[in-house]
Amino acid sequence: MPGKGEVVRNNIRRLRFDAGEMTQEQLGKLAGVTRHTIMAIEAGKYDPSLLLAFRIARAFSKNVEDVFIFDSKQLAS
Amino acid sequence: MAEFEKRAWWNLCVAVGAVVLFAAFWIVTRKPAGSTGAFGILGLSGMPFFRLRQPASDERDREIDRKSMIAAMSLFWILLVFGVVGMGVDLGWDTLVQVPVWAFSGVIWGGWIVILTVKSATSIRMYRAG
Repeated sequence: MPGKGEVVRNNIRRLRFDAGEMTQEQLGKLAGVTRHTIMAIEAGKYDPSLLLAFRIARAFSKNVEDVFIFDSKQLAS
Repeated sequence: MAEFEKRAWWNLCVAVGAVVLFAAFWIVTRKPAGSTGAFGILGLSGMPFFRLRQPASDERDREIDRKSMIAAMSLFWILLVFGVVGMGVDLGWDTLVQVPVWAFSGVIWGGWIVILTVKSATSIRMYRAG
């Protein structure tokens, strides 16, 4: 779970669009989770486990860093 | 709505329904002992487990389940400790009291209702929050 001043953003929406308008249901099936979990991750309301983050990245044939971006004001200061 | 959120709503309705039914029976019959039979509907909370095709849970479902269980057990434990200590302090630790069986069983049912209600409500809140 991110701490104070830390946030994990993601590019899932854009990557789904780039992958031929892949649906949340389809991505969920590829990553082994429900559509609701993909929805929560995409909205930034749920931070996935490392394993799930890798699975989602693999579904797009990308690296984890291309899908998830870690923003930390604490580290920057 | 996620499958496990539906299950949480079901359990919340069962818990609230049991309390409402108990109160209604008590008001109508004026017999609290017989009214505890209303708590039998709490068994309906096990209904989703009899589905032939069980929904698959993912890591978010399991995390919500774990956190909501901790919330429910924590509140139950606080109530239990305050109840036990409160009785001892209020009545005296060596005092003999007569309690009707329905009240004693009602407390056990009540404990289950607290756990079911808090677990369901916490799950629903967490599913709604994301």
